[in-house]
Amino acid sequence: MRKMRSLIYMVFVLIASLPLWIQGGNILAAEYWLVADTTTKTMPDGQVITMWGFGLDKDNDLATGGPGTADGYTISVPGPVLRVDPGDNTLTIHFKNNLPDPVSLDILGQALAVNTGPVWTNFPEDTTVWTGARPAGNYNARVRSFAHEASPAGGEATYIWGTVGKPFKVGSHILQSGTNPAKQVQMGLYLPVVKDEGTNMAYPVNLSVPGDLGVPYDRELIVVFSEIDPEIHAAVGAGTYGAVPNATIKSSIYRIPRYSMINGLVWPEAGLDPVNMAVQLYKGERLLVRFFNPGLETHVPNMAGMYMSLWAQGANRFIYPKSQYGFELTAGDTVDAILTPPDAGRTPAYDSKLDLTNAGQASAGGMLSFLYVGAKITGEIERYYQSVLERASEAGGVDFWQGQMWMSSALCIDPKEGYIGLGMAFFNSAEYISKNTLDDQYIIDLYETFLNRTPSQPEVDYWIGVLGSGLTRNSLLLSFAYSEEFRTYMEANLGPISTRAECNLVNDFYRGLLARFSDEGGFRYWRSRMRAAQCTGADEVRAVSREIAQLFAGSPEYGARLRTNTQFVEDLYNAIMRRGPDSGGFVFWLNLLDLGLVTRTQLLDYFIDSPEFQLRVQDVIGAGCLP
Amino acid sequence: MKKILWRIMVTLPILWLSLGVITANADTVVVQCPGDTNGDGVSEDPNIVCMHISGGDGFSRMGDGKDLYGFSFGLVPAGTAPGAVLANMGLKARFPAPTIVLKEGQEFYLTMTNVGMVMRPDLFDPHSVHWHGFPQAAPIFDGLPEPSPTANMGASYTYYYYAAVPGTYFWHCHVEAAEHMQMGMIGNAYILPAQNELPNGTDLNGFNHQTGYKYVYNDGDGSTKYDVEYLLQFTGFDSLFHEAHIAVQPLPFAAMHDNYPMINGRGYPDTINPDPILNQEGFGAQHMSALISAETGQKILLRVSNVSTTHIYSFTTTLGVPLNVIGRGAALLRGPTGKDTSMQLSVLTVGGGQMFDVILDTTGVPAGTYFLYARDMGNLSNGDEERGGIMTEIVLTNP
Amino acid sequence: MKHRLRILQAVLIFGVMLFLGSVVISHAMIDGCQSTSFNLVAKQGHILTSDGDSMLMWGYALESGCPGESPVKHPAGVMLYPGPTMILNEGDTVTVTLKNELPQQAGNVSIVFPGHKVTASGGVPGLLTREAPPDGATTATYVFTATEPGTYLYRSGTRPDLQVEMGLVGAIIVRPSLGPLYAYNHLDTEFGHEYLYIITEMDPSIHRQVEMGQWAFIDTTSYFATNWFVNGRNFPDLMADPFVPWLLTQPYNCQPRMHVGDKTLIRLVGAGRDLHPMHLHGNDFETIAADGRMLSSGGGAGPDLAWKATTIRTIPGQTADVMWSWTGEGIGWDIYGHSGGEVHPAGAPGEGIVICNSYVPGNPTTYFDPYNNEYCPDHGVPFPVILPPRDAVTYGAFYSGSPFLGGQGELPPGHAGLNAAGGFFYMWHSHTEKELTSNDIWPGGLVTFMIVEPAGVDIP
Repeated sequence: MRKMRSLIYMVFVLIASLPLWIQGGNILAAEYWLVADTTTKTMPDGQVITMWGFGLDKDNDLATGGPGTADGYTISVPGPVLRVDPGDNTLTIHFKNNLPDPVSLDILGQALAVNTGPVWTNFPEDTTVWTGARPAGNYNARVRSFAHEASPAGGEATYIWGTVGKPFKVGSHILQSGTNPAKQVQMGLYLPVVKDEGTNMAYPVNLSVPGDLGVPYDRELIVVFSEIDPEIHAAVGAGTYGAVPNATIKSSIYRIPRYSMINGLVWPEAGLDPVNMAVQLYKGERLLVRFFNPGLETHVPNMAGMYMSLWAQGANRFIYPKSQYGFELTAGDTVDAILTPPDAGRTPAYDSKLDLTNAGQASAGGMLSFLYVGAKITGEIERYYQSVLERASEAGGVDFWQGQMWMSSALCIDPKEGYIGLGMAFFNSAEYISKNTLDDQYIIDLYETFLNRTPSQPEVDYWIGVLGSGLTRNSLLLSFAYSEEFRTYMEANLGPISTRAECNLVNDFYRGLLARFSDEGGFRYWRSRMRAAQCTGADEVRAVSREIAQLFAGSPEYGARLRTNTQFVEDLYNAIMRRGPDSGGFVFWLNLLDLGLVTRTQLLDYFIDSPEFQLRVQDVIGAGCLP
Repeated sequence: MKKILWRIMVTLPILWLSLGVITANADTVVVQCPGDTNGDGVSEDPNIVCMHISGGDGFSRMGDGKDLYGFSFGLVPAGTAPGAVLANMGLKARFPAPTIVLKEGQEFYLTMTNVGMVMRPDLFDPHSVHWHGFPQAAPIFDGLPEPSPTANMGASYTYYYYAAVPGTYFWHCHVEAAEHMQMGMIGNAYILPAQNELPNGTDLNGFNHQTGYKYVYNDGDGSTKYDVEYLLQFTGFDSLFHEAHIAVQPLPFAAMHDNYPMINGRGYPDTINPDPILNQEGFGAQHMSALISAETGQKILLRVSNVSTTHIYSFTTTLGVPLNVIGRGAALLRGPTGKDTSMQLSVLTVGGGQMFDVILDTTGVPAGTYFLYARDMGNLSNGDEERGGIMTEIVLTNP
Repeated sequence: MKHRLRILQAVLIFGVMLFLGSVVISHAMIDGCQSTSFNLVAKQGHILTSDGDSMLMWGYALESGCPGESPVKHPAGVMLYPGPTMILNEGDTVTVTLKNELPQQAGNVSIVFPGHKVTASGGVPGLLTREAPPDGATTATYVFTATEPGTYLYRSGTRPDLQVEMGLVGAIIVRPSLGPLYAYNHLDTEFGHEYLYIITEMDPSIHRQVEMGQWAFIDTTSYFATNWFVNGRNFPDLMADPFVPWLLTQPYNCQPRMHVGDKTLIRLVGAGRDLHPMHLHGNDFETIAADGRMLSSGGGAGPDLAWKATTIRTIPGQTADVMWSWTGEGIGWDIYGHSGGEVHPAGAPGEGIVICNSYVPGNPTTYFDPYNNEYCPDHGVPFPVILPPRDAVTYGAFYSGSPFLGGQGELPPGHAGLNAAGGFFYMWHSHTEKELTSNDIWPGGLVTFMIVEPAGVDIP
């Protein structure tokens, strides 16, 4: 959860352990409170898997609360990403073990600063414990833990890596259980630990190579590969794994993973499309992908065949990068690669070793994900501020809107929609309305905002005429947003855009009826309904299209907007027709509604049944079934 | 340039092109060791190294106490009379096979006598020696049964190697290799570089060579210097295959899957045992410990190879220092123009047939016990037994 | 009773007599289809495995053969395993169309081209790319430009855990603008011969389930390969000629050959799901490229980060290029069995000139004979040991009866005599030695032999 910096605490610990370190001066340290506990994972096929995982204690005291409580922790597999800041010399983890086995912590490639283990026991009894060194002449004892243990069921221990003299190593690391790791790591006791050389600098400059620039990056993505053998997990959960009298599975020598996960997820679980939902990535940027394999098998990450520069392995920087579109990612290894996507779009990222099924099912599963690369027009949001609100953006404003646009396009919605949504929000904002703009200025604002040009007088005159014929300002806005000129302008700046029809159709209801960006959960639901329908047949697509339209129009959220008849007709053109209305049609329908000749429900049905909307539905049908 | 006079004496006029073979000696157990003037199996020429091994069968004890039947090579004591070899060397197969150590520039005469398989009298398999990775090899000494002769039961075959290229190799029988290697006919081999023998005080591009310094390669700069060296040969046994073998059953090639992963022929904790592991015959076939010990601050050289017939293995250590891989496939990791292509890793993957030279610099690592283990952790097993397999201990002591 | 294939198929036919061939320098080049337009059809078909089985496969067929190929080698409309090797020139824009004649239950099929930027159109949408549905008519089209030279692969991007296993794989070779005898656009990548190694595996139980229509039983997480292929054939079938009629669906062979001192490029393609440590007997190689990119520090340096080894792991979905040569340097005896003073034979380069007559001890530039690349310091050095009597040893089928290059010796009765020219045979194979079997039968699987031929033996 939250990272604490505690200079005083560190000094205390260091005094207690190795007082000489104090002379090192400034001590910067990363400090975490970590808990291990059991959890379960329900697979898409319904199988429930017992997992062991890590979670951060929410109030850093390890004292109270259970899983999921406000004062507790949330167990996940992989565990949370622990970050060690560039200046930090040490990483301290206060650890509590709520598992039935003793647990110790181990970071591959880095030794503990203070290790009061290792721990050996007699085998198979596991009853006599030797600590620190193997008993002289005893060649039968087997190591249980690489370091001091936290006792089962609530035991605590502290682990510190790095010293002032030998700081925590820069790079991508795997923290795992150091106790019977074949069992415990397999069960899920692993998490990524990351330390940068500097801000947005993954590794240092190599001074011996002329022109070396280090490994700078713009964005960072963490990708963790691991697997599950459900039979072993079940045996561990039942206490019948390993050197125990009633064992059903005694060792992992015949392990057969049935589920292969990226970031603890198997396709098609949410979170893999895109895998970088939380990482805004635009074409041409340097994406640092940190690949972790805490699993027990080799995997071969492949980023849709795009070449990456491999810069480091196991947190060791290469002298020269390797240009490859995939690579062998061995169990226990990490690889840091820079990917500079040349194009925007959604590209698959998967395991070339083809672990692409969930427990052998015919449908796609396993280690499959998608990387979404966005396109943006630098300065465009700021230009909207200037063009509509005639002011500079407020602090955080551009980032907020950029984030909204990112999420929208990452969910597969047409990237133009982000700018349309931004324009709608600005032109309908209290701030803009309070300007009491005259019609000709409004039209000029539309031209300048959406088309980035000043209109000619005849153009202004034309639109003033349209307004005079009874159309609303928002109707005009829609005409601009769905004009050929806007499309051309955007594609000239964003690059060619192809969007699956169902994505836009679903989003149309958020924009047209709720006047907002799609939220991820809701959008994913309707998208999956629509995609299921596309695989079922044309009638089902028509039915779902009707259902979503009726549900949105009848939703409390829409009701709460208290739309007038004028606005209602405007919204129907927006949501159902995805265009600005023609004045003849607009006035005709509005009159019918105002005269009480049709109800809103009936009007909605007319729109749904219109050949124009059904043509759009036909596009959705034509987009076809996406497996 | 080497020019060995003895050859003129022992090599008859070239017959190969005409007759093909030299008239058979009645006794087919023949040790060829040029320069051995007193018949003790040791050449009096310091540049000639001779070794006599037997190819046969025996047993090895797994980490869970189970004895498995296998094939391998025994070390025939120098000076053993030819007539005594077959009688003495039954069931004396070592696992791994005897280690070959040469100095660069030496000539090596390796005589392998096929003593037959005591426990499988129904078999008449030839055996061979394949020096794996030997550069510029010729088929006649490559041990491959297809393009060369291989020794039948009761016969000897002398292989000749001029140790031209230093580095870490290994060797194995190449006759029906899937079977014979699975059964255990594998061993270590390495060649020490001429750089070790330089005069005291030689300057190596700024590095001052001292007598007694040891290097992995002729690096020219001291970058491959080490203090202590250990062999780590990864392999595995598939117990079902071995059990089928001694039971004279059809061999399950398709089902082959090593379930006893090992280092130097042992599963943990036998890996740390300094003594030979005695098999059911009371013979210490498993003669090689895998315990690694050094003083803090020393550079530990690991000569790593994998001879498993089914598995690729990946290992790591808990030392907290990188695995500095300076050699691969008996070659210094340097590009054709001298660029440093060494690898610093936290996990090293070793496929069957791969060899790596890894230096662990323990500078700054506190004294204590550390672990080297298979990070593909299904291999931390002795068959059905957990907490075993490919793991050993690294004991660092203060000087 | 051991279960082994004891008799090698006599598939080697070398109709060339010693020293009678012409002295024209020839270059073995990889068989494939050179075109910029490939009309592929995913089809079912059967292949022969060296354990004597016939296995159902899915493969990419050339709908109407290889465009413009003369004489015609690639059969039209026949399932191929692997799919046609696409030979391209740097800068080519390539159009690949795909139709799907697989059974309905196989579902859609597609092609991904890792390392290439592909524009896919037509067909129906799929997860990784556009797909061809199993209607035998709908066409998916893939267009890409071969911007960089090198070795690449293509394979199915639809349910690939099953479809790649079933055989929907192939290789791509992009020749550099520098010329066809270079691997990349750098002089250091020049080669004399090139050979392709597309490595694949097979779990026969999956193929049987497909053949018997047991679709519900297929579980690729239980996948356990027991048969292995180079260019779609097992040992020893891979030693037979390419395009032989009895291996119609397996057109490509793998029979590397060269002369002493030649440089041979090996293009390795990990087309399946497993890693294979490929080991080259005879000498070490240099790995010069991975995934179609030279191992280079950049700036036109060429493959200056190449690494030497004798074993390289092939990685699923990845490629590597290694360069190999052999001279016998430092072997310690004369590989021809000469005693010194011999002349280069009639008809051979340097005819009549004394072998190694320009050798000056201490001057490394003179160490190799300019005509036959013999390592001169060992010229005339006698053979170091006495070989055992013939009845004390077993002669392999590729043993000429002599330890010398180009040598011949008396062979025992019944010996196959497969090395009449006295070549040096080096096994190039997977060192996961289990993979030297074909579905429980030894020998088979991932075994090939490089033959270093004596001078005068033509290499086509």
